[in-house]
Parts: sequence; structure tokens; C-alpha cells
Amino acid sequence: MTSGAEILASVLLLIGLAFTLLGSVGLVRFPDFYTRMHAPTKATTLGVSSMALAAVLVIPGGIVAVLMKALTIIAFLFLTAPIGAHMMARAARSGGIAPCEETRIDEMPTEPVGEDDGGHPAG
Amino acid sequence: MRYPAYNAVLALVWMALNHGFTIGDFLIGYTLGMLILYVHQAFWSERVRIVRPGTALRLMGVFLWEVVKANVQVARIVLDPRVPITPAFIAIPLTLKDDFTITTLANMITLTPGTLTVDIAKDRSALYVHCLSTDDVEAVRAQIKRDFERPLDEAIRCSPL
Repeated sequence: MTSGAEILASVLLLIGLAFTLLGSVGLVRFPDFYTRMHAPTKATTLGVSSMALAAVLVIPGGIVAVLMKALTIIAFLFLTAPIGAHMMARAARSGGIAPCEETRIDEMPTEPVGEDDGGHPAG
Repeated sequence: MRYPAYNAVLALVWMALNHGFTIGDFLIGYTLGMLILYVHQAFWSERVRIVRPGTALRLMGVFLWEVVKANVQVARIVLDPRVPITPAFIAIPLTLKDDFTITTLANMITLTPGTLTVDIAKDRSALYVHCLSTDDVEAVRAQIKRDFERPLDEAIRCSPL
């Protein structure tokens, strides 16, 4: 017997799988470091989110408890993924890794612009 | 005790991770939260208030929809046998002034597939964003400012501590 919840969970798993797979394929196919950064960071957020939601539907132990856990996982993912991507991209840029030649527009100055305000002093 | 709202959120996270939804769990979470907030005090530079919850909620909705939409666009590019991309580094001039709102905007840009925040101008006049593929730089700029920056600016007020 397959229940509706199991079918829905399978669909969500497949969606998550598809986006994660596409992210990996993008990683291989894209031409340079910066374009490659795009594939895995985004695919993971949507992919892992759907997988976490699929888990909510099938893991026993109270749907509210598991849902809260899944939502926490998704929230942390959305908080941490962009920071990792940002740090890698920034490091690559200041390390002088050249973008691919299809990159025609570059509005980013090579030298830092303006005065560094050093951020706000701590509390 | 200085940030009851943040502390309550931390207590909720504790409850979610710990599978417990009683008053007692909340109190344990709240106490642990106080400890965490105390340790992190040195990093806090501004007080953040949501002044227009409606705008904030709509922004979240627009954001989630953009994430899904853009994921599909990137998937299309990945699957296209020619990989038709024209990447670009573009500058997004900033109207936002505060740490919190700028950080949120930068993260939203990164989480929306197809755009990735690379850096911020040292004087905070602009964010530098890498676009996976765009023919119309002005459109990307306008869309980010209209969909993300303006609602953020309207919904959230920051003041120094």
C-alpha cells in the first residue's frame, strides 16, 4: 500500500534529486570559477529543502516535531550557503582568477573604491 | 535579557531541535539563549526593527518565488547543449546603509540563482554581483532594486545601539 504522503514524498525527493544533479552537471559544464560557483550553491538550497520536506512526510514521530527540525535545517542552509559562496567568490576575485572570455561586462574595479570605513566598531 | 525577541527565537530553535514543546523546554532554551547572546554581544552593532511586517512578509514571498523561478532558469542553461551564457560582473548602487539590511540583500542576491554577490565597495556605495548570464544589465539592476532593496528599505529600520 502506498499512501498519498509517500507519493508526495517521492515526488519531493525526485525534485530535490533533479536539482542537486543539475547543480553537479553545471559544476562540470560551466566554463570558469565564477560561473561554477552558481551551480552548486543554488541547487543545494532548493534540492536539500525539498529532500528535508520529503523526510517530514515519511519519518514517524509526530509531524510537527519533524517539520520543525526540517524547517530549522532549511533556515540554517539559507543562512550559511550564501556566506560560503560569497567568501569563495571574493577570494577568487581578489586572488586574480580570470573570468572566462564570454564575460564581456565587468563593472567591478580592480582597485578598491573609496575609503574603508572599517565597519562599525563593536557594540 | 536585553534582546527578548532574539532570545525567544533562539528558544524556539532549541525547542525545534530538541523535539520538546513544553514551557520547560522553552525556559531551558531561553536560558541557553541568554548565554549565547551574552557571548555574541561584541558583534552587535545595531538594533534591528521590522517596521512594516506586511512588506517584510511580501518580500519573503517574492524572494521564495524568485528562488524557484531562477532555479528553473539555471537548470535550463545547464541542460542546454550549447551552455549559452554571457556572464557579467555588475555594480548595484546601494541606497541601503545598515549592516543588517546590506547583508540581507547580499545574501538574497546570492541565494537567487543566476546572481552571486562577490564584494561590496569599501565605502559601501555598491555591491558587486556576478551574473551567470545576462544580456540586459540594466534590467538585472532594476529588478534587484525593485524586488529586494526597496522592500527591505521600507520594512526594516536599524538604529545604532
